Amino acid sequence: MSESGYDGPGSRVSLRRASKLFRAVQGNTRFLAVLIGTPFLVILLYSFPLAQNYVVEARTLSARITVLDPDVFWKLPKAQFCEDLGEARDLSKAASYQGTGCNPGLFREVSLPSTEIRIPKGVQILIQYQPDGSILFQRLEDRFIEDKPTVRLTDSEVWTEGSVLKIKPVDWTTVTLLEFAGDVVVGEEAGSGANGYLIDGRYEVRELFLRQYRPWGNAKANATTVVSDNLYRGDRIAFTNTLEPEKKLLTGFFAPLFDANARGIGIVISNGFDPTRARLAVESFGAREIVVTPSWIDRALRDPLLLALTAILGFAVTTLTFAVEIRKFNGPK
Amino acid sequence: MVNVRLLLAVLGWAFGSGVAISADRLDLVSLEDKMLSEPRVTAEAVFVGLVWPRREDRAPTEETILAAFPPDLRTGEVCVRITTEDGLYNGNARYKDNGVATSSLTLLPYIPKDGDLSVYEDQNIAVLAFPCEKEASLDEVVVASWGSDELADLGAKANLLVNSFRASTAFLIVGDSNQVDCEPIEGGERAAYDFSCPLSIADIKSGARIALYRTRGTSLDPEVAINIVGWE
Repeated sequence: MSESGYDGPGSRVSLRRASKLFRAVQGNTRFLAVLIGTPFLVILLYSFPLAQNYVVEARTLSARITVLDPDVFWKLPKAQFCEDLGEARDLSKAASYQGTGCNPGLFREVSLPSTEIRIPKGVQILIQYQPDGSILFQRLEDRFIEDKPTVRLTDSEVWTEGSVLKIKPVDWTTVTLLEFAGDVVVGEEAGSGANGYLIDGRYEVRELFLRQYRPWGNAKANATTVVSDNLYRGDRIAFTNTLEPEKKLLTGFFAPLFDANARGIGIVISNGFDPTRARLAVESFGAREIVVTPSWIDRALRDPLLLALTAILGFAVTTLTFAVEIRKFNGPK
Repeated sequence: MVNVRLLLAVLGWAFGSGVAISADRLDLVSLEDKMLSEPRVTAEAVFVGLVWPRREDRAPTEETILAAFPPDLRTGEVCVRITTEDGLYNGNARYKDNGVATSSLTLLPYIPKDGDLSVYEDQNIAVLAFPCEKEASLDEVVVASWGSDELADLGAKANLLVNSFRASTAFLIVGDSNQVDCEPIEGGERAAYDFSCPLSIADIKSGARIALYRTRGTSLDPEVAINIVGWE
């Protein structure tokens, strides 16, 4: 400090303190190594998760799934089956139809009893909530396969591309979970004409940290939520795997909502604990797609062990500083 | 009466001799365009383009549109709307005839003021040409080709590019009964148009009414129709 008691502007004081600190650690290589090495170690430890799991829960007006291994088995209630007439469609008949069922110019209508169906790999299905509360399951064009697999609804009815299963609201409420494994897109991007958008939801990224590694397995380790956020109306979520697009193996299920008066379909998706499988991509209205990728900062900020160590270290430094100051105060004059 | 030069060009195209035709060059009156930095999700109309693509072996002619505009339709101003599939670029140009109408084919110079269209593939650019007086109803359109100046450059199919407003499927009735299935566009929901419907030039060269039908789930949207003006 100068004789006048004034050290100058704050920046000059900080520089002077830094220079003092630098002089103090000069020659003390062990301390220097700890000073520089600790942050590097923290960054390194939290840059690579041991395992990563994306979980999404949403309420949506539509979702698209493509079944991958294993095959899907669904237990469905009674439904109307609208078989696509394809080339045989009669547009003049279709245009004059005023009813709400399957348009007879486009579909052949069949009533189906409650049934269990097996859906093999490659079949793509669009599930849609209708304004009257009914649910449509439409088989779209197959993906990832060359031969068209057969999806049998009953002994006499086959679910062909373009054909629709329509489940009435009262029957939909009786549906148990409809599980699937494969690729999934939830919601439709917002825009004029969109009627299959996501209503709301939430996602979480749960991870096991490197420090939780045990050679004998990590079954007892608890996963930590490192990133979470809400999903808003019009968001569209999908999982990406640019290296192996056919291996976006996600598991999930559809379910009726508990509140019978609420609109939409409930859906839960998880990518398991394999970080190589897929990343969550969120498209919001008017914005570019973002891929949710947790960073080392997200992990470090949410690791209870690191937070506890930081708190303990902070407490220790404060106590030590306090003790030194007291000694200075009580020391020989 | 059949235009002799047009006939020569059609014969040239049919026999691959590449006989050139001198189309009437129209004068640009105004051009308003904009290249956005972010994708625009919504498009303005159901019919976004009626494009007659070049044959694959023909090189593009830059900054020119070839449109089959019969002289009686060019008494007023001629409008052209350009939209890219990603919805980033949109341009509206107006042209006028210079008074010497000799051909049913017209050449329309188009140099974007904002943005660079050369980065787009031809199939990602929609061109819709129509008489400006029909701008509100958009019920009369003509076929147009991006980057062409000769009829001999063009193929045997045209594409009607449609913004279905998120329909499940789309198909056309050409004339009275010819049914055409529309193909979904790769760009999907972010595209300014989401279906491409192939049309045979033979079916539309004398003019045709095109009715568009769109399905949503198990129901059908009301018909939307457009008239393609013939040039032969």
